[in-house]
Amino acid sequence: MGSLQLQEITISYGGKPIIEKLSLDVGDGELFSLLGPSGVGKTTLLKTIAGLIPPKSGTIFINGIDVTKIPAEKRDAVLIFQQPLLFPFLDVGDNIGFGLKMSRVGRNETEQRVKSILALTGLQGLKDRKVHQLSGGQQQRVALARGLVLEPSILLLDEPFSNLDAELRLRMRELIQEVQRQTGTTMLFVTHDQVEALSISHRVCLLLGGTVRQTGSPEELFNRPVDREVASFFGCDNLIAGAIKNNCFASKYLSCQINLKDCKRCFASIRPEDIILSPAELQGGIPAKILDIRFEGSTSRINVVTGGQTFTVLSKRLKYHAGQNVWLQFPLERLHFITEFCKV
Amino acid sequence: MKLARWLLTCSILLSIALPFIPLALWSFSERWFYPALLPQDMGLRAWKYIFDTAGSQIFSGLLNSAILAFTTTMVSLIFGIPAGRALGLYDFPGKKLVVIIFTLPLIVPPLTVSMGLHFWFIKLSFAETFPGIVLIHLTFCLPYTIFVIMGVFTDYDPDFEDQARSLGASALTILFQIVFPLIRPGIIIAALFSFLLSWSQYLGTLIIGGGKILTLPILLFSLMLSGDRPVAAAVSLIFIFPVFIVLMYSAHNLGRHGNRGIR
Repeated sequence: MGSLQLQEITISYGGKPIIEKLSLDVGDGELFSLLGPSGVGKTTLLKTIAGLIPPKSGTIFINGIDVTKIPAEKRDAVLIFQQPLLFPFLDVGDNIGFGLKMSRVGRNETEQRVKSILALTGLQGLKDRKVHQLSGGQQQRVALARGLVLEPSILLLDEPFSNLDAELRLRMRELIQEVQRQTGTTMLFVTHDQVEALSISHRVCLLLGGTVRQTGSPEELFNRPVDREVASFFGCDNLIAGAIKNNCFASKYLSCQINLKDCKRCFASIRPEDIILSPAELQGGIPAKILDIRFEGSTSRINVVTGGQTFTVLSKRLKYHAGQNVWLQFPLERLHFITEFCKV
Repeated sequence: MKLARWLLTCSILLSIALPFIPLALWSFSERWFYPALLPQDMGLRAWKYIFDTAGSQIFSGLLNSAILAFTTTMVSLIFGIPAGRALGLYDFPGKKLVVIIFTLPLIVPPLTVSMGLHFWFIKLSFAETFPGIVLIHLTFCLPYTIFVIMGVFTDYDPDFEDQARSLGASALTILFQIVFPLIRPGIIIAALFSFLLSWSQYLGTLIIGGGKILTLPILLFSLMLSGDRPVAAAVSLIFIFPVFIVLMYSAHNLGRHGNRGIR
């Protein structure tokens, strides 16, 4: 149990700032995801929170106490790396008990706690195995157990499933959620996989270009991005430029009533799966032409062009072909308005 | 299949033993002249000489060599592990130059190194002392240690240390309970190299020691020069024996350690 606050953290590496003035607030018992593309400094930030890299400026609070100057080994946060990093010269039980041994927990209690954590992570019967006798998924579970057993205020997870195959990753996500529900451990989970972040977290923070772009529930980030880059990160490049005047959004393709302040430049975004595509004429539809089609399994990604702008549509229908004339419709209730250029 | 295996084992054993057979024969010979294939007379004269007449001298030589080799090994590990780690893990300006400088004592003939340093050692009153000999042995042992350890650290993940720290381990604990176990095979090989190099070092010991400190190689050479071949052969065997045991033992252990993932 614990909370974490970051206040204007700046981290630089080799003179170059990687993270600039980042502030973050993770509540008690929360599963919080830090989402961002590779190389944005997520791992560096986690290492800073764990105490392995000193920040250039800013303050870190755990449970309201300033821990910025407290060394990693004494900090009440445990980092679980991308690789399992199990000590090859210790067996599974000793690996999990390593942290307890460091904090001088008695032998009986250690045994007890290791046993219960083995059960929690589904590793019963593997206590005496050597590390090299475990599969990749088991190794990662041991790494998770090794952190969990210490019952830290914050558990920091650095893309712990990225080296596993797709099916195993799904099972590990479920395990993390299950463990989080049962133990109530505050977890800060770093990932570049948006599906992973959206599916397991209570809240998600999107990190782009070294700064926080948007923090909120998975549903909020996905459906109501604050700016165009966030929208684009979640795969929504369908933006319709327009203006708002007298509670009315007007653009080349559509106009509708909305309850927003006047703004000369704003965007209506619509997700590719929300656009209605039809081979026959739709009432109030916009005529368009199919540029190309990419088959992706359950849906096809279709790029259509109309009035000089390209829209991406996800469609379940397979009978389209490139060059075909089609009709588009933007359901008004599916529109989201991005007002990053508007005065508040 | 069985026959092939048996043949292989025999040929390996034979190839290991072959160089020692003439030595053993010589040490037990009383009279062995050309063109006889085997000694004309066999006896224990050489061995009696070693254990009785020259017993104390041989024993002190053995002891000197062992202490010297052990000290040299320890010192080269103490300096070699941090240096090897720095060269293996980090990139810094002038790294290549440092590596070249470290290889110099291995490239330049030992005679040149010892002669050159002798002058300085006399000035610094290191000549004819135990620390002086350790220092001259280090010029050969330290580079080997550094290169072995450097090799180990190029294939080493420092995240293990960060992980241990995050789990609550102090710096000293990490060194002894994480780093050393992880690089154990490298340390053993480096120590072996260093020990063997120092154990068999003759020239450096002679020049810097000035014959004051009698190690086994020095005794061996003087016996060889005196022309008593049976005695020289017996001393050679004594000289090789401890090294052989250590080598076999560690090779056995290392093999087991290295193959743990396969078995």
